[in-house]
Amino acid sequence: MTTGGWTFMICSIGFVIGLIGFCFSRVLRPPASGDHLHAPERMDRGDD
Amino acid sequence: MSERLALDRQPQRENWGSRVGVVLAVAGSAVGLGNFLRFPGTAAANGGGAFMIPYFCALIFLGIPICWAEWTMGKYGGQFGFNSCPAIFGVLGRRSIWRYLGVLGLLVPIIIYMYYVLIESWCLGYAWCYLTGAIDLGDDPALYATKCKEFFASFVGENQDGLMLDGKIHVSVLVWIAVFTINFVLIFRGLTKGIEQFCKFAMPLMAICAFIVLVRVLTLGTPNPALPDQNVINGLGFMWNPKPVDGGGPWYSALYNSKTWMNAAGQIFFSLSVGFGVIINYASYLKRKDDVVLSGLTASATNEFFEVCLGGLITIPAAFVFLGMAGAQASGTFDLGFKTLPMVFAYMPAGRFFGFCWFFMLFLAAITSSLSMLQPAIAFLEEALGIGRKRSVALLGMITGMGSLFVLYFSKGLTALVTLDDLVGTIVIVVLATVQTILFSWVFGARRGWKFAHQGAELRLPRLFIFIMKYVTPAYLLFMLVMWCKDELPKKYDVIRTEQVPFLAFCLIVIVTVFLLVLIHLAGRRWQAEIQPVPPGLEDLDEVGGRS
Repeated sequence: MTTGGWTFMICSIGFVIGLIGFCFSRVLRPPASGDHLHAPERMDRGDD
Repeated sequence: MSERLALDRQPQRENWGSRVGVVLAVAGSAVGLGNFLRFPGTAAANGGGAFMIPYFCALIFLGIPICWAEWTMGKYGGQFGFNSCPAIFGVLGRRSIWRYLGVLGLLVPIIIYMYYVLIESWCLGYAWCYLTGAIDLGDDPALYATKCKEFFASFVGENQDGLMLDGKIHVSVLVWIAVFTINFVLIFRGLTKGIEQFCKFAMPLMAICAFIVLVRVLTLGTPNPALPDQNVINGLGFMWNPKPVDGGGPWYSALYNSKTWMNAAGQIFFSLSVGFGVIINYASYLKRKDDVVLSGLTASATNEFFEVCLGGLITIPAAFVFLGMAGAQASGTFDLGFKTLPMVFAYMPAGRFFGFCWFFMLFLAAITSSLSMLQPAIAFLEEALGIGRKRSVALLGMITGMGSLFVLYFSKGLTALVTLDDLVGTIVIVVLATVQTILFSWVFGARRGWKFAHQGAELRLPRLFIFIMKYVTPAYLLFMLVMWCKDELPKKYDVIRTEQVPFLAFCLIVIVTVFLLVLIHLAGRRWQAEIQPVPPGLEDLDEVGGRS
């Protein structure tokens, strides 16, 4: 296995593990106030 | 835009039980045989490690944006009480033509299910045979290849049409009946108690089975001292070393080859299950304040984990270690999965156990996908005919059962299966993705979609998403369609015109399409009969920015 092979393998697997780790850490994090956080573009009008 | 089409109010609308549940259900739908069998072969044949550059570009600029669009469209349609693709397309497009185009979102999962459930039963059948010792390739390694081919041919009836239904009891037919029944029992249990609960159990179990096989493969070392080059490190090298596609030149010449980019995009496209009509259906069961951005990204990341981190480290290295370069180059999903890997397990110490783990894992990957193919049609039958789950499950069982019997009967050379996959499982998926990308970006409005996606979102979508969905994705999909029509359409037409089984398979697709179009027509009247105001929180999508 060449250095290039190791580099591509480690970077690819590292990227995917980093991505899935980030995603699940956010998904499994308990909501701070019992409700979802909202992004700045939130359109909630508070009418439901 | 004060009025919209609406569905008869269902007594109790189904919703997902938890965020993790919906993420695992969507990921389960995406993770399938392609992650473990198609991806490694495609990567190794298209530049090895170099392939990962176009692969990740396609993931970031094509796969994930389309996923987000599907999640958003599904959730939007769900706010009007709709769960089926035709109804959701009708709400988004506001014209009846979009409702009829929604037939693609039913046709794809129904037809694919007809043959996919058969492949799924092969996986469980192989797992059962490993467990009971029914797969015995003998002691002579020289005969392994022949015995593997013979076993597969007799198991699936590859040598003769009708062999599986000749009146004798075949294990593969019994397993097919069992798998078909399991699918319908689970789907009958409903969204939360059936699909969600099963995926919550099946996905971790699939990961455990894959880890067991992965650890075994990575600790193989050099099993045959007489062949020191056939070791795990070189096996990984065969998969991951960057190399030119056609042999000559530096490794980065692979990146100048347009086929590498097309194959990478194709792999991402099919791997993430976009264009199946499944994500739209699953997302329609979300509530308005449920997140789609983080959930969509998490489901895609889970699929990538199974594909890159597990599929990329198991299949090719294992085949290389025992069979050398020739074995690792086995082409085709079926060849690699059902003819090459059993040879690997025959060489491997404790191969029976690892063979069972491997094929049981493939079965779990397949069943989480096949379940997702049934739900869109169930939702449609309930909405279109106003019938309950029991009757819609029975009706769908009858339709898919007849189709699956057709594939089972015409087993010679797997012609029926391959024809259905070539037509629906390959090109109709691209057509559906193109339709929904145009619907989302140009009819509904990419900017409106972008705004709606942020309702309840836990991550902010980059604005680049709007540009990608409006220009990059449609252009790429149209390019794929044009290339297919130029290269493949004349060949497919000739095959359908001249050969009996492909012609019958084509007729099956036409009959199902016509049947679904009639139902959509009838459903359209039902849906238009009731008009309701736009659900709260959706009308203001037009106020700022408007359509774009």
